[in-house]
Amino acid sequence: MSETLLKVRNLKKSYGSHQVLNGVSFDVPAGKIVGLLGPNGCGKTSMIKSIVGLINDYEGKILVNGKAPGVESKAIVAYLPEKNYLAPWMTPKNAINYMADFYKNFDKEKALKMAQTFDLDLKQKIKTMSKGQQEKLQLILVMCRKADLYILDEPLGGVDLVSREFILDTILKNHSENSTILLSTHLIYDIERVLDRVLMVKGGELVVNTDVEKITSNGKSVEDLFREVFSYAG
Amino acid sequence: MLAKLLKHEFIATGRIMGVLYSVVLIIMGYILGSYYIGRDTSEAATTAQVLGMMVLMIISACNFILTTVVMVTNFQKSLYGDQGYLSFTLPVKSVSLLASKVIVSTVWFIAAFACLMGTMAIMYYVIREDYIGQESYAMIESMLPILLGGKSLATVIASTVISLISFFVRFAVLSIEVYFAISLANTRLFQKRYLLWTIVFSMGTIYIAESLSKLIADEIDFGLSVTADSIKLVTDYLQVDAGASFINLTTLVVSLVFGAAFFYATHYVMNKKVNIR
Repeated sequence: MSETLLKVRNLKKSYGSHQVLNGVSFDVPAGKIVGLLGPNGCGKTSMIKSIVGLINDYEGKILVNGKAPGVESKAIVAYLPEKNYLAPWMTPKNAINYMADFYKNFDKEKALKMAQTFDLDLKQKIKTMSKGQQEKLQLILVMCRKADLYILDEPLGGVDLVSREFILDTILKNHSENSTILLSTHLIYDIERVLDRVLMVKGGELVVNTDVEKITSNGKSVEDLFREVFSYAG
Repeated sequence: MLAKLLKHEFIATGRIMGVLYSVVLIIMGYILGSYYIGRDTSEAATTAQVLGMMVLMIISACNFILTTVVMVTNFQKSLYGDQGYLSFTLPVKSVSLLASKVIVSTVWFIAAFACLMGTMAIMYYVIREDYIGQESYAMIESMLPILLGGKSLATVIASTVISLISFFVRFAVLSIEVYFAISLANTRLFQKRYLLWTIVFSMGTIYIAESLSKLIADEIDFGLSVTADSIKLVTDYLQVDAGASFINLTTLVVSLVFGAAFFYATHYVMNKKVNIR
Protein backbone atom coordinates (compact mmCIF):
# COMPACT_ATOMS: atom_id res chain seq x y z
CA MET A 1 0.00 0.00 0.00
CA SER A 2 1.32 3.47 -0.84
CA GLU A 3 2.02 5.84 2.05
CA THR A 4 -0.42 8.33 0.65
CA LEU A 5 -3.70 6.51 0.55
CA LEU A 6 -5.77 9.24 -1.01
CA LYS A 7 -4.49 11.80 -3.45
CA VAL A 8 -6.72 14.59 -4.76
CA ARG A 9 -5.41 17.05 -7.33
CA ASN A 10 -7.09 20.18 -8.62
CA LEU A 11 -10.58 18.79 -8.06
CA LYS A 12 -13.30 20.90 -9.63
CA LYS A 13 -16.99 20.24 -9.72
CA SER A 14 -19.87 22.42 -10.74
CA TYR A 15 -23.63 21.98 -10.94
CA GLY A 16 -24.54 24.10 -13.94
CA SER A 17 -23.09 27.55 -13.29
CA HIS A 18 -22.67 26.86 -9.57
CA GLN A 19 -19.07 25.92 -8.81
CA VAL A 20 -18.98 23.77 -5.64
CA LEU A 21 -15.34 22.65 -5.75
CA ASN A 22 -12.74 24.96 -7.13
CA GLY A 23 -9.39 23.23 -7.61
CA VAL A 24 -9.02 21.30 -4.36
CA SER A 25 -5.75 19.40 -3.82
CA PHE A 26 -4.68 17.36 -0.83
CA ASP A 27 -3.13 14.06 0.27
CA VAL A 28 -4.41 11.78 2.99
CA PRO A 29 -1.69 9.60 4.50
CA ALA A 30 -2.41 5.99 5.40
CA GLY A 31 -3.33 5.14 8.98
CA LYS A 32 -4.60 8.59 9.99
CA ILE A 33 -7.95 9.93 11.13
CA VAL A 34 -8.67 13.00 9.06
CA GLY A 35 -11.47 15.46 9.66
CA LEU A 36 -13.06 17.03 6.62
CA LEU A 37 -14.54 20.13 8.15
CA GLY A 38 -16.68 22.91 6.86
CA PRO A 39 -20.15 24.37 7.16
CA ASN A 40 -23.10 22.91 5.30
CA GLY A 41 -22.95 23.49 1.55
CA CYS A 42 -19.19 24.09 1.39
CA GLY A 43 -18.59 21.15 -0.97
CA LYS A 44 -17.66 18.35 1.46
CA THR A 45 -20.28 15.91 0.21
CA SER A 46 -19.50 16.61 -3.46
CA MET A 47 -15.84 15.93 -2.69
CA ILE A 48 -16.69 12.67 -0.94
CA LYS A 49 -19.10 11.61 -3.69
CA SER A 50 -16.33 12.15 -6.24
CA ILE A 51 -13.88 10.07 -4.18
CA VAL A 52 -16.27 7.14 -3.72
CA GLY A 53 -17.28 7.11 -7.39
CA LEU A 54 -20.79 8.52 -7.12
CA ILE A 55 -19.85 11.61 -9.13
CA ASN A 56 -17.86 11.04 -12.29
CA ASP A 57 -18.16 14.32 -14.16
CA TYR A 58 -15.55 16.20 -12.16
CA GLU A 59 -12.34 17.81 -13.33
CA GLY A 60 -9.00 16.96 -11.76
CA LYS A 61 -7.50 13.77 -10.46
CA ILE A 62 -8.43 11.44 -7.62
CA LEU A 63 -6.32 8.43 -6.70
CA VAL A 64 -7.25 5.96 -3.97
CA ASN A 65 -4.24 3.81 -3.23
CA GLY A 66 -2.93 4.78 -6.66
CA LYS A 67 -6.13 3.95 -8.54
CA ALA A 68 -8.80 6.22 -9.96
CA PRO A 69 -12.26 5.68 -8.46
CA GLY A 70 -13.55 2.41 -9.86
CA VAL A 71 -14.07 -1.24 -9.01
CA GLU A 72 -10.69 -1.61 -7.29
CA SER A 73 -10.98 1.52 -5.17
CA LYS A 74 -14.56 0.68 -4.20
CA ALA A 75 -13.38 -2.66 -2.86
CA ILE A 76 -11.11 -0.94 -0.32
CA VAL A 77 -13.27 2.07 0.55
CA ALA A 78 -16.08 1.75 3.10
CA TYR A 79 -18.49 4.62 2.67
CA LEU A 80 -21.16 5.80 5.06
CA PRO A 81 -23.41 8.37 3.40
CA GLU A 82 -25.70 10.79 5.17
CA LYS A 83 -28.72 9.00 3.72
CA ASN A 84 -30.30 5.66 4.41
CA TYR A 85 -29.18 3.69 1.37
CA LEU A 86 -30.89 0.41 2.18
CA ALA A 87 -34.11 -0.74 0.53
CA PRO A 88 -37.06 -0.35 2.94
CA TRP A 89 -38.18 -3.96 2.44
CA MET A 90 -34.81 -5.29 3.61
CA THR A 91 -34.15 -6.63 7.08
CA PRO A 92 -30.80 -6.27 8.88
CA LYS A 93 -30.15 -9.92 7.98
CA ASN A 94 -30.80 -9.21 4.29
CA ALA A 95 -28.51 -6.19 4.43
CA ILE A 96 -25.71 -8.13 6.13
CA ASN A 97 -25.97 -10.95 3.56
CA TYR A 98 -25.96 -8.38 0.78
CA MET A 99 -22.74 -6.78 2.01
CA ALA A 100 -21.14 -10.19 2.60
CA ASP A 101 -21.91 -11.13 -0.99
CA PHE A 102 -20.26 -8.11 -2.53
CA TYR A 103 -17.37 -7.27 -0.22
CA LYS A 104 -14.66 -9.82 0.38
CA ASN A 105 -13.47 -7.77 3.35
CA PHE A 106 -16.85 -7.81 5.10
CA ASP A 107 -16.89 -9.68 8.40
CA LYS A 108 -20.35 -11.25 8.54
CA GLU A 109 -19.93 -12.84 11.95
CA LYS A 110 -18.85 -9.55 13.46
CA ALA A 111 -21.82 -7.79 11.85
CA LEU A 112 -24.28 -10.31 13.29
CA LYS A 113 -22.70 -9.96 16.73
CA MET A 114 -22.75 -6.17 16.55
CA ALA A 115 -26.39 -6.20 15.48
CA GLN A 116 -27.17 -8.24 18.56
CA THR A 117 -25.11 -5.92 20.77
CA PHE A 118 -26.89 -2.89 19.31
CA ASP A 119 -30.21 -4.58 20.03
CA LEU A 120 -31.30 -4.78 16.39
CA ASP A 121 -33.91 -7.34 15.42
CA LEU A 122 -32.44 -9.19 12.45
CA LYS A 123 -35.89 -9.86 11.03
CA GLN A 124 -37.35 -6.40 11.38
CA LYS A 125 -37.98 -4.57 8.12
CA ILE A 126 -35.89 -1.43 7.71
CA LYS A 127 -38.97 0.67 6.92
CA THR A 128 -40.33 -0.11 10.40
CA MET A 129 -37.07 0.75 12.16
CA SER A 130 -36.45 4.11 13.81
CA LYS A 131 -33.98 6.53 12.24
CA GLY A 132 -31.52 5.76 15.03
CA GLN A 133 -31.78 2.00 14.40
CA GLN A 134 -31.28 2.54 10.67
CA GLU A 135 -28.17 4.62 11.36
CA LYS A 136 -26.81 1.95 13.69
CA LEU A 137 -27.34 -0.70 11.03
CA GLN A 138 -25.55 1.32 8.36
CA LEU A 139 -22.72 1.96 10.77
CA ILE A 140 -22.41 -1.80 11.39
CA LEU A 141 -22.36 -2.48 7.64
CA VAL A 142 -19.55 0.01 7.13
CA MET A 143 -17.46 -0.73 10.21
CA CYS A 144 -17.58 -4.51 9.71
CA ARG A 145 -15.54 -4.13 6.58
CA LYS A 146 -11.78 -4.46 6.88
CA ALA A 147 -11.35 -1.47 4.62
CA ASP A 148 -8.26 0.61 3.91
CA LEU A 149 -10.22 3.83 3.82
CA TYR A 150 -13.41 4.64 5.71
CA ILE A 151 -15.24 7.66 4.40
CA LEU A 152 -17.93 8.79 6.79
CA ASP A 153 -20.14 11.64 5.67
CA GLU A 154 -21.67 13.49 8.62
CA PRO A 155 -22.04 10.39 10.79
CA LEU A 156 -22.81 12.58 13.81
CA GLY A 157 -25.31 14.90 12.16
CA GLY A 158 -28.85 14.98 13.48
CA VAL A 159 -28.27 12.80 16.55
CA ASP A 160 -28.16 13.64 20.25
CA LEU A 161 -24.99 13.90 22.33
CA VAL A 162 -25.19 10.36 23.73
CA SER A 163 -25.68 8.89 20.30
CA ARG A 164 -22.77 10.93 18.96
CA GLU A 165 -20.48 9.44 21.59
CA PHE A 166 -21.82 6.00 20.83
CA ILE A 167 -21.24 6.42 17.08
CA LEU A 168 -17.75 7.80 17.53
CA ASP A 169 -16.91 5.04 19.94
CA THR A 170 -18.13 2.41 17.47
CA ILE A 171 -16.04 3.93 14.69
CA LEU A 172 -12.88 4.05 16.79
CA LYS A 173 -13.26 0.55 18.19
CA ASN A 174 -14.13 -1.14 14.93
CA HIS A 175 -12.09 0.36 12.13
CA SER A 176 -9.43 -2.01 10.91
CA GLU A 177 -5.85 -1.60 12.01
CA ASN A 178 -3.71 0.84 9.97
CA SER A 179 -6.77 2.01 8.11
CA THR A 180 -7.51 5.63 7.31
CA ILE A 181 -10.67 7.46 8.28
CA LEU A 182 -11.93 10.51 6.45
CA LEU A 183 -14.67 11.94 8.59
CA SER A 184 -16.79 14.78 7.34
CA THR A 185 -18.62 16.89 9.88
CA HIS A 186 -19.48 20.36 11.01
CA LEU A 187 -19.64 19.25 14.68
CA ILE A 188 -15.99 19.77 15.53
CA TYR A 189 -16.16 19.65 19.31
CA ASP A 190 -17.23 16.00 19.35
CA ILE A 191 -14.47 14.70 17.13
CA GLU A 192 -11.57 16.98 17.89
CA ARG A 193 -9.96 14.57 20.34
CA VAL A 194 -9.70 11.74 17.82
CA LEU A 195 -8.39 13.60 14.78
CA ASP A 196 -4.81 13.43 13.51
CA ARG A 197 -5.27 15.89 10.71
CA VAL A 198 -7.86 18.40 9.52
CA LEU A 199 -8.95 19.65 6.15
CA MET A 200 -11.19 22.71 6.12
CA VAL A 201 -13.23 23.55 3.08
CA LYS A 202 -14.66 27.00 2.49
CA GLY A 203 -16.60 28.01 -0.61
CA GLY A 204 -15.31 25.04 -2.56
CA GLU A 205 -11.66 25.69 -1.71
CA LEU A 206 -9.35 23.98 0.73
CA VAL A 207 -8.32 26.64 3.23
CA VAL A 208 -6.70 24.52 5.94
CA ASN A 209 -4.73 21.31 5.55
CA THR A 210 -2.68 20.60 8.64
CA ASP A 211 -1.93 18.23 11.53
CA VAL A 212 -3.95 18.66 14.70
CA GLU A 213 -0.67 18.58 16.61
CA LYS A 214 0.44 21.76 14.83
CA ILE A 215 -2.80 23.53 15.75
CA THR A 216 -2.66 22.52 19.40
CA SER A 217 1.06 23.39 19.67
CA ASN A 218 0.00 27.00 19.03
CA GLY A 219 -2.31 26.81 22.02
CA LYS A 220 -5.46 26.56 19.91
CA SER A 221 -8.07 23.91 19.50
CA VAL A 222 -9.42 22.73 16.18
CA GLU A 223 -12.69 24.39 17.08
CA ASP A 224 -10.90 27.70 17.68
CA LEU A 225 -9.28 27.48 14.27
CA PHE A 226 -12.61 26.54 12.70
CA ARG A 227 -14.27 29.59 14.25
CA GLU A 228 -11.38 31.75 13.07
CA VAL A 229 -11.51 30.43 9.51
CA PHE A 230 -15.25 30.63 9.19
CA SER A 231 -15.51 33.82 11.27
CA TYR A 232 -17.89 32.35 13.79
CA ALA A 233 -18.63 34.65 16.67
CA GLY A 234 -18.86 31.69 19.03
CA MET B 1 -20.11 -10.27 -9.77
CA LEU B 2 -22.88 -10.25 -12.40
CA ALA B 3 -24.22 -13.48 -10.89
CA LYS B 4 -24.42 -11.82 -7.46
CA LEU B 5 -26.08 -8.76 -8.91
CA LEU B 6 -28.60 -10.99 -10.66
CA LYS B 7 -29.26 -12.89 -7.44
CA HIS B 8 -30.02 -9.71 -5.51
CA GLU B 9 -31.96 -8.22 -8.39
CA PHE B 10 -34.19 -11.29 -8.44
CA ILE B 11 -34.60 -11.09 -4.66
CA ALA B 12 -35.58 -7.41 -4.89
CA THR B 13 -38.06 -7.82 -7.73
CA GLY B 14 -39.15 -11.32 -6.74
CA ARG B 15 -40.91 -10.01 -3.65
CA ILE B 16 -43.75 -8.90 -5.90
CA MET B 17 -43.28 -10.91 -9.06
CA GLY B 18 -42.44 -14.10 -7.19
CA VAL B 19 -45.64 -13.90 -5.14
CA LEU B 20 -47.63 -13.19 -8.28
CA TYR B 21 -46.25 -16.16 -10.18
CA SER B 22 -46.63 -18.43 -7.17
CA VAL B 23 -50.33 -17.53 -7.18
CA VAL B 24 -50.45 -18.18 -10.94
CA LEU B 25 -48.78 -21.59 -10.59
CA ILE B 26 -51.05 -22.60 -7.70
CA ILE B 27 -54.17 -21.65 -9.67
CA MET B 28 -52.92 -23.36 -12.83
CA GLY B 29 -52.01 -26.43 -10.79
CA TYR B 30 -55.43 -26.49 -9.16
CA ILE B 31 -57.33 -26.10 -12.43
CA LEU B 32 -55.32 -28.74 -14.25
CA GLY B 33 -55.28 -31.07 -11.26
CA SER B 34 -58.99 -30.86 -10.50
CA TYR B 35 -60.02 -30.99 -14.15
CA TYR B 36 -57.71 -33.59 -15.60
CA ILE B 37 -56.56 -35.71 -12.68
CA GLY B 38 -59.41 -35.47 -10.17
CA ARG B 39 -62.11 -35.09 -12.83
CA ASP B 40 -63.98 -33.23 -10.13
CA THR B 41 -67.22 -32.06 -11.71
CA SER B 42 -69.01 -30.97 -8.56
CA GLU B 43 -70.58 -27.53 -8.57
CA ALA B 44 -68.08 -26.24 -6.01
CA ALA B 45 -65.13 -27.49 -8.06
CA THR B 46 -66.51 -26.03 -11.27
CA THR B 47 -67.09 -22.68 -9.57
CA ALA B 48 -63.53 -22.73 -8.20
CA GLN B 49 -62.19 -23.59 -11.66
CA VAL B 50 -64.11 -20.74 -13.28
CA LEU B 51 -63.01 -18.32 -10.57
CA GLY B 52 -59.42 -19.52 -10.93
CA MET B 53 -59.65 -19.03 -14.66
CA MET B 54 -60.96 -15.50 -14.17
CA VAL B 55 -58.09 -14.67 -11.79
CA LEU B 56 -55.61 -16.07 -14.32
CA MET B 57 -57.16 -13.96 -17.08
CA ILE B 58 -57.00 -10.82 -14.93
CA ILE B 59 -53.39 -11.51 -13.93
CA SER B 60 -52.41 -12.23 -17.53
CA ALA B 61 -54.08 -9.05 -18.71
CA CYS B 62 -52.41 -6.87 -16.05
CA ASN B 63 -49.12 -8.70 -15.94
CA PHE B 64 -47.23 -6.68 -18.53
CA ILE B 65 -48.27 -3.41 -16.92
CA LEU B 66 -47.37 -4.67 -13.44
CA THR B 67 -44.00 -5.97 -14.68
CA THR B 68 -43.26 -2.62 -16.32
CA VAL B 69 -44.19 -0.71 -13.15
CA VAL B 70 -42.07 -2.97 -10.93
CA MET B 71 -39.06 -2.81 -13.24
CA VAL B 72 -39.24 0.96 -13.74
CA THR B 73 -39.69 1.63 -10.01
CA ASN B 74 -36.89 -0.73 -9.09
CA PHE B 75 -34.52 0.84 -11.62
CA GLN B 76 -35.31 4.39 -10.47
CA LYS B 77 -35.06 3.65 -6.76
CA SER B 78 -32.09 1.31 -6.75
CA LEU B 79 -29.91 3.44 -9.02
CA TYR B 80 -31.06 7.04 -8.92
CA GLY B 81 -32.75 7.17 -5.53
CA ASP B 82 -31.12 6.87 -2.10
CA GLN B 83 -30.32 3.19 -2.74
CA GLY B 84 -28.05 4.37 -5.55
CA TYR B 85 -25.58 5.37 -2.82
CA LEU B 86 -25.14 1.67 -2.19
CA SER B 87 -25.48 0.38 -5.77
CA PHE B 88 -22.91 2.74 -7.24
CA THR B 89 -20.35 2.15 -4.48
CA LEU B 90 -20.38 -1.62 -4.89
CA PRO B 91 -17.14 -2.99 -6.32
CA VAL B 92 -18.80 -3.90 -9.60
CA LYS B 93 -18.59 -2.42 -13.07
CA SER B 94 -21.48 -0.11 -13.84
CA VAL B 95 -22.01 -2.03 -17.06
CA SER B 96 -22.77 -5.10 -14.90
CA LEU B 97 -25.24 -3.08 -12.85
CA LEU B 98 -27.11 -2.12 -16.00
CA ALA B 99 -26.85 -5.61 -17.51
CA SER B 100 -28.33 -7.20 -14.39
CA LYS B 101 -31.33 -4.85 -14.59
CA VAL B 102 -31.90 -5.61 -18.27
CA ILE B 103 -31.54 -9.38 -17.85
CA VAL B 104 -33.90 -9.52 -14.87
CA SER B 105 -36.56 -7.36 -16.50
CA THR B 106 -36.36 -9.47 -19.66
CA VAL B 107 -36.82 -12.63 -17.61
CA TRP B 108 -39.89 -11.19 -15.90
CA PHE B 109 -41.35 -10.09 -19.24
CA ILE B 110 -40.78 -13.59 -20.60
CA ALA B 111 -42.52 -14.92 -17.48
CA ALA B 112 -45.45 -12.57 -18.16
CA PHE B 113 -45.55 -13.87 -21.73
CA ALA B 114 -45.39 -17.49 -20.53
CA CYS B 115 -48.18 -16.74 -18.05
CA LEU B 116 -50.34 -15.36 -20.86
CA MET B 117 -49.60 -18.37 -23.08
CA GLY B 118 -50.25 -20.77 -20.21
CA THR B 119 -53.55 -19.12 -19.39
CA MET B 120 -54.60 -19.23 -23.05
CA ALA B 121 -53.58 -22.88 -23.30
CA ILE B 122 -55.57 -23.79 -20.19
CA MET B 123 -58.56 -21.83 -21.41
CA TYR B 124 -58.35 -23.53 -24.76
CA TYR B 125 -58.11 -27.06 -23.43
CA VAL B 126 -60.36 -26.76 -20.39
CA ILE B 127 -63.04 -24.52 -21.78
CA ARG B 128 -63.13 -25.88 -25.32
CA GLU B 129 -65.53 -28.69 -24.57
CA ASP B 130 -67.56 -27.21 -21.76
CA TYR B 131 -68.05 -23.71 -23.02
CA ILE B 132 -67.11 -23.46 -26.68
CA GLY B 133 -68.56 -26.79 -27.58
CA GLN B 134 -67.22 -29.65 -29.59
CA GLU B 135 -68.30 -28.18 -32.92
CA SER B 136 -66.48 -24.91 -32.42
CA TYR B 137 -63.43 -26.80 -31.25
CA ALA B 138 -63.50 -28.97 -34.37
CA MET B 139 -63.85 -25.86 -36.49
CA ILE B 140 -60.77 -24.27 -34.89
CA GLU B 141 -58.82 -27.50 -35.41
CA SER B 142 -59.84 -27.63 -39.06
CA MET B 143 -58.78 -24.03 -39.57
CA LEU B 144 -55.24 -24.61 -38.31
CA PRO B 145 -53.82 -25.95 -41.61
CA ILE B 146 -55.29 -22.93 -43.40
CA LEU B 147 -53.74 -20.62 -40.82
CA LEU B 148 -50.39 -22.34 -41.35
CA GLY B 149 -50.81 -21.73 -45.08
CA GLY B 150 -49.60 -25.14 -46.15
CA LYS B 151 -46.12 -24.42 -44.80
CA SER B 152 -43.73 -27.27 -44.08
CA LEU B 153 -43.06 -28.36 -40.50
CA ALA B 154 -39.50 -26.97 -40.79
CA THR B 155 -40.92 -23.58 -41.72
CA VAL B 156 -43.39 -23.65 -38.87
CA ILE B 157 -40.67 -24.61 -36.35
CA ALA B 158 -38.15 -22.10 -37.70
CA SER B 159 -40.77 -19.34 -37.78
CA THR B 160 -41.87 -20.12 -34.23
CA VAL B 161 -38.29 -20.17 -32.90
CA ILE B 162 -37.37 -16.95 -34.72
CA SER B 163 -40.60 -15.28 -33.58
CA LEU B 164 -39.99 -16.25 -29.98
CA ILE B 165 -36.37 -15.05 -30.10
CA SER B 166 -37.48 -11.80 -31.76
CA PHE B 167 -40.16 -11.40 -29.14
CA PHE B 168 -37.75 -11.92 -26.25
CA VAL B 169 -35.14 -9.63 -27.82
CA ARG B 170 -37.89 -7.04 -28.18
CA PHE B 171 -38.63 -7.31 -24.44
CA ALA B 172 -34.96 -6.73 -23.66
CA VAL B 173 -34.70 -3.80 -26.07
CA LEU B 174 -37.88 -2.24 -24.69
CA SER B 175 -36.42 -2.50 -21.19
CA ILE B 176 -33.22 -0.81 -22.32
CA GLU B 177 -35.18 1.93 -24.10
CA VAL B 178 -37.16 2.65 -20.94
CA TYR B 179 -33.99 2.53 -18.79
CA PHE B 180 -32.40 4.99 -21.20
CA ALA B 181 -35.40 7.28 -20.79
CA ILE B 182 -35.25 7.04 -16.98
CA SER B 183 -31.53 7.79 -17.01
CA LEU B 184 -32.02 10.80 -19.26
CA ALA B 185 -34.84 12.03 -17.01
CA ASN B 186 -32.45 11.89 -14.04
CA THR B 187 -29.86 14.20 -15.57
CA ARG B 188 -29.55 17.59 -13.94
CA LEU B 189 -31.72 19.43 -16.46
CA PHE B 190 -34.75 17.16 -16.01
CA GLN B 191 -34.18 15.75 -12.52
CA LYS B 192 -36.71 17.96 -10.75
CA ARG B 193 -39.60 16.46 -12.71
CA TYR B 194 -38.04 13.11 -13.49
CA LEU B 195 -41.36 11.25 -13.48
CA LEU B 196 -42.87 13.45 -16.15
CA TRP B 197 -39.70 13.35 -18.23
CA THR B 198 -39.42 9.58 -17.83
CA ILE B 199 -42.86 9.23 -19.45
CA VAL B 200 -42.06 11.76 -22.18
CA PHE B 201 -38.65 10.25 -22.98
CA SER B 202 -39.97 6.68 -22.86
CA MET B 203 -42.71 7.45 -25.35
CA GLY B 204 -40.33 9.44 -27.55
CA THR B 205 -37.58 6.81 -27.46
CA ILE B 206 -39.92 3.92 -28.21
CA TYR B 207 -41.70 5.84 -30.98
CA ILE B 208 -38.46 6.87 -32.69
CA ALA B 209 -36.94 3.39 -32.35
CA GLU B 210 -40.08 1.70 -33.68
CA SER B 211 -40.41 4.10 -36.63
CA LEU B 212 -36.76 3.73 -37.59
CA SER B 213 -36.96 -0.03 -37.17
CA LYS B 214 -40.01 -0.22 -39.46
CA LEU B 215 -38.36 2.04 -42.02
CA ILE B 216 -35.22 -0.10 -42.12
CA ALA B 217 -37.21 -3.36 -42.18
CA ASP B 218 -39.22 -2.08 -45.17
CA GLU B 219 -36.06 -1.17 -47.08
CA ILE B 220 -33.87 -4.19 -46.38
CA ASP B 221 -34.69 -7.82 -47.20
CA PHE B 222 -32.71 -10.02 -44.90
CA GLY B 223 -33.87 -13.38 -43.68
CA LEU B 224 -34.20 -17.10 -44.13
CA SER B 225 -35.46 -19.03 -47.10
CA VAL B 226 -37.01 -22.16 -45.61
CA THR B 227 -38.12 -25.31 -47.43
CA ALA B 228 -38.94 -28.76 -46.04
CA ASP B 229 -35.28 -29.78 -46.25
CA SER B 230 -33.21 -26.60 -46.34
CA ILE B 231 -32.74 -23.32 -44.55
CA LYS B 232 -30.77 -20.62 -46.41
CA LEU B 233 -29.78 -17.11 -45.44
CA VAL B 234 -30.82 -14.56 -48.07
CA THR B 235 -30.16 -10.83 -48.42
CA ASP B 236 -32.69 -10.21 -51.15
CA TYR B 237 -36.26 -11.40 -51.47
CA LEU B 238 -35.48 -12.50 -55.05
CA GLN B 239 -33.03 -15.09 -53.67
CA VAL B 240 -35.85 -16.97 -51.94
CA ASP B 241 -36.20 -20.43 -53.50
CA ALA B 242 -39.37 -21.31 -55.40
CA GLY B 243 -41.87 -22.83 -53.03
CA ALA B 244 -39.86 -21.75 -49.97
CA SER B 245 -41.10 -19.53 -47.18
CA PHE B 246 -39.32 -16.31 -46.26
CA ILE B 247 -38.70 -15.54 -42.60
CA ASN B 248 -37.71 -11.91 -42.15
CA LEU B 249 -34.76 -11.34 -39.82
CA THR B 250 -34.32 -7.62 -40.43
CA THR B 251 -36.46 -6.61 -37.45
CA LEU B 252 -34.51 -8.94 -35.16
CA VAL B 253 -31.15 -7.60 -36.33
CA VAL B 254 -32.35 -3.99 -36.11
CA SER B 255 -33.63 -4.68 -32.58
CA LEU B 256 -30.24 -6.10 -31.58
CA VAL B 257 -28.42 -3.08 -33.04
CA PHE B 258 -30.82 -0.65 -31.33
CA GLY B 259 -30.52 -2.59 -28.08
CA ALA B 260 -26.72 -2.34 -28.16
CA ALA B 261 -26.87 1.37 -29.03
CA PHE B 262 -29.34 2.19 -26.24
CA PHE B 263 -27.40 0.05 -23.76
CA TYR B 264 -24.23 2.00 -24.55
CA ALA B 265 -26.08 5.33 -24.39
CA THR B 266 -27.74 4.43 -21.06
CA HIS B 267 -24.40 3.37 -19.62
CA TYR B 268 -22.84 6.65 -20.74
CA VAL B 269 -25.64 8.80 -19.30
CA MET B 270 -25.66 6.76 -16.08
CA ASN B 271 -21.91 7.17 -15.62
CA LYS B 272 -21.24 10.63 -16.90
CA LYS B 273 -24.40 12.68 -16.70
CA VAL B 274 -26.42 11.57 -13.67
CA ASN B 275 -25.74 12.94 -10.23
CA ILE B 276 -27.66 10.93 -7.67
CA ARG B 277 -29.97 13.11 -5.64
